[in-house]
Amino acid sequence: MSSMRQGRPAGRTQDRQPGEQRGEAAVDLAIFAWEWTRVVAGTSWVTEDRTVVADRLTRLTSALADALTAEPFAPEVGIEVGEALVRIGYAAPDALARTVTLLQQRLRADLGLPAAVDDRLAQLVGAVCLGFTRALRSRTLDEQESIRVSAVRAWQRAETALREQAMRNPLTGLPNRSGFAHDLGQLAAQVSQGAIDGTVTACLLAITDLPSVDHDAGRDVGDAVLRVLADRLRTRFTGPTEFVAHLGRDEFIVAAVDQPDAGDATGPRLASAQELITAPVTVDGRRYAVSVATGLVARPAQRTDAVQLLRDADRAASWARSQGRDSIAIFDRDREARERCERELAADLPDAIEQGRLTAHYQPIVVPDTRDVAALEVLARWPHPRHGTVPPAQIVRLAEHGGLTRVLGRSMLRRACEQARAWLSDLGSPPLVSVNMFPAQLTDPHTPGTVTEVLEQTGLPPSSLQLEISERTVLSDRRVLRTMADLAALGVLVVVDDFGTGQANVAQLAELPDHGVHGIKLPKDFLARVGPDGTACHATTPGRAVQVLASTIDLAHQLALRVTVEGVETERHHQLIQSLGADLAQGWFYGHPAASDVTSQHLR
Amino acid sequence: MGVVPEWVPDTVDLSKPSAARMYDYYLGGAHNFAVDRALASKVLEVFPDGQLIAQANRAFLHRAVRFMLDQGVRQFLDIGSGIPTVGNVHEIAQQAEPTARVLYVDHDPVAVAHSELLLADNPSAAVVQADLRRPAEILEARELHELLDLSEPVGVLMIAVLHFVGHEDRPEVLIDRLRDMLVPGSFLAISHGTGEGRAAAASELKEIYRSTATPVTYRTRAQVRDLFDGWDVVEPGVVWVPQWRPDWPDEVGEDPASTVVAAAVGRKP
Repeated sequence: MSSMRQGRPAGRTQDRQPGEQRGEAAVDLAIFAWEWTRVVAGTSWVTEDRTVVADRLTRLTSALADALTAEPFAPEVGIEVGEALVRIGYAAPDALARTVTLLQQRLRADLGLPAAVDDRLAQLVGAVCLGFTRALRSRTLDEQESIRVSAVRAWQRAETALREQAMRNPLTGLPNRSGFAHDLGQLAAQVSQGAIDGTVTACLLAITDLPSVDHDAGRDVGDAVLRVLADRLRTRFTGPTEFVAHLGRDEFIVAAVDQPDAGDATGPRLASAQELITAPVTVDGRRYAVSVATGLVARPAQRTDAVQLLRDADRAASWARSQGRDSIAIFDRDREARERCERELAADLPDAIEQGRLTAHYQPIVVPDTRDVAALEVLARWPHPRHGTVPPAQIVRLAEHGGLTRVLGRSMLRRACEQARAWLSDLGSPPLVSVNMFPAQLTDPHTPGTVTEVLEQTGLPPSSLQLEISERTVLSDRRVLRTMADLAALGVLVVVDDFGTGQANVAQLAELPDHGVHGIKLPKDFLARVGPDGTACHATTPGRAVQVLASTIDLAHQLALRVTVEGVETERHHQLIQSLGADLAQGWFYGHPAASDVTSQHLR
Repeated sequence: MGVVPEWVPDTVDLSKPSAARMYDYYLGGAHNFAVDRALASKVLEVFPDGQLIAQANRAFLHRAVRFMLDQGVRQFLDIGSGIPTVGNVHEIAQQAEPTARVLYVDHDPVAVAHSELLLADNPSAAVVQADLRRPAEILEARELHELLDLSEPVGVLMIAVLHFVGHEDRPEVLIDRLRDMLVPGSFLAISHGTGEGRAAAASELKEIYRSTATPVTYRTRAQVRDLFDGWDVVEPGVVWVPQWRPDWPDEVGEDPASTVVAAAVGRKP
């Protein structure tokens, strides 16, 4: 209101009505102002008490009254009145409408002014409308702006909260995997700016027996245990370059940057995290203790990729887990390389088998006396584009791990039969092909059908095929015995491989012929114990190894089983097994496994 | 509060109407969006005197705060404070007593952000985002314990908010726990839509609010009285909102019941 007074034109006081009329006019002003107060009440929400409002409206009335008669005429007073109305809080359109009506209907009459002021009144009313709408517009825009700014702020805050929550483990509030990667990424940025140098050491703590806590005491208790462990880690590792994160439900990671001049205490310090995890936790009066497998990784801070670091720490923890309770393993790049090779091979093997990228090699099985090649054992080789040639034993291990033995066995059988059929055409009477059968093939009732199908499709007579069944197969399994008998019934030869190394006992040996078995193969272990020059390797057991070999051959012969001795590497071996009456022999002395083209030339 | 956020962050969906912004519209403010105005207009079709009811509610807030100030209360907890327009609690309180402290609580993130803008330079007033359906969010709020001195009486204001809290959310739990936490001489003011006497309009209004984040639950005057269990309800008891200690006799109007809003203030003995 004071600004309105200051806004009055100078010399105004002299232009006023004569003083004797002032008291009467003041009463009239008050009457009008009270009426004004009454008509606008309820149109808008105002903070002020009614008496305060009436007082303000009285002053506004006074300003308008002055303007109606003052010289020179200053219609802008109306603008100020309109603005003031909004400022008091009477900002509703209704308030303006009622004000305008009241001014036009009563102001002049209430103040006892002549009709001559009507023109001025009209201009003043127009100015009031102008002031009111201008102020209201300005207020509205301000309020719209402030609510929009608030909405944007609220929205941004919600987004940030969502983002932050996405980087936190909801149970413990620690950073999760992406939070850890984010923190480490920020560290890497500092490193690249030269602010930090040194080594990042990370210690992954994989709790190994949380499921048993969950199972025995309930998941709530498991959660409570994890919260305690998280708090322990959080309060221990508080340094500016130390990180704690909660990766999976039962995995924590602690990482720290070791400054070059800070000594090398980081490793032991981080490893102490293990004790924080294994120290008992009390929940609801009960003590729980968990064990942990700890994987340690260290690398230069400048070359730290969080994803790689996590993967390597994970790997080390998995090694620790296989080492037993509360073990620590340090990440070893060579070991990881070997294991990665193995994993890659395992991943590639199915396609390699499917697409026929495995090759068959053939090792001769000879008649010792004549050295004629009686059979050729088929062995798989895998020329891998990155890892070189994968040997048969590794292929078998990979196939067994990957559950691929049936597919591999069938593929090698087909390959061998096709080759044998080709040799049959080329040579007239080629050696047998001898194909290894896997345990999974022998428990599969479809195997005899598959063999029949392959023989029919390749046109190979059953008598040209020998199947080697490892004694590591459970020979007492009814399904295996049935398959062996069915295979023998097809007319193929069935021999038991790896004799004496597996499940069979000597008593079972007697039953083998009943199941169609035609012969046995004695693995190289027998000759290895004899030694390269034909004498026993162990001085304390001279001749015993030879005796075992001789007796086994005799026993087999008495049961009418043909004996193949493997591992013949020297002339002495050859002479020994010849003298012991071995029917067939196999080993480097007679020939290494060779590819089909080399073998073909050799057979001609 | 621990460092662990157990809440899911509120999303801010500006395509949904907000009760706080609709209330601002009833009071003639422009702190609202088209979606709020659209729904508020529907409400005003059902309750043509809706703006007057909102004003009456607002006037009750003022009278209640001034009453509490007269009783020596110097700190206030305004739960469901909404969009802080002119004449909010801290303005009334700090005008009378410049050191008076006020904590605003609302669950509407936009209302909270707006309060923050308004209170940025006011060290004696703060806002916290919390949902009264989860009492711990309020009772354990850091701001509550930092700004307010709980060894002194506190004036709790729950103006036109509890009718947005369903029976199943048990607002009495928060009220009881507040009563237990606060010292004797503390006050509680409630105004609450009852739906009594204008059943058809009230049920239409309920239907309109059903689609919002804050559906309406009416409580009768008797049920409002029950919310004051353990508090001494001061004169004139649970009455229609214009009847509560009016400044001017004619403020009450000819038909105070038409506001359908009940109001009362209680004192912790």
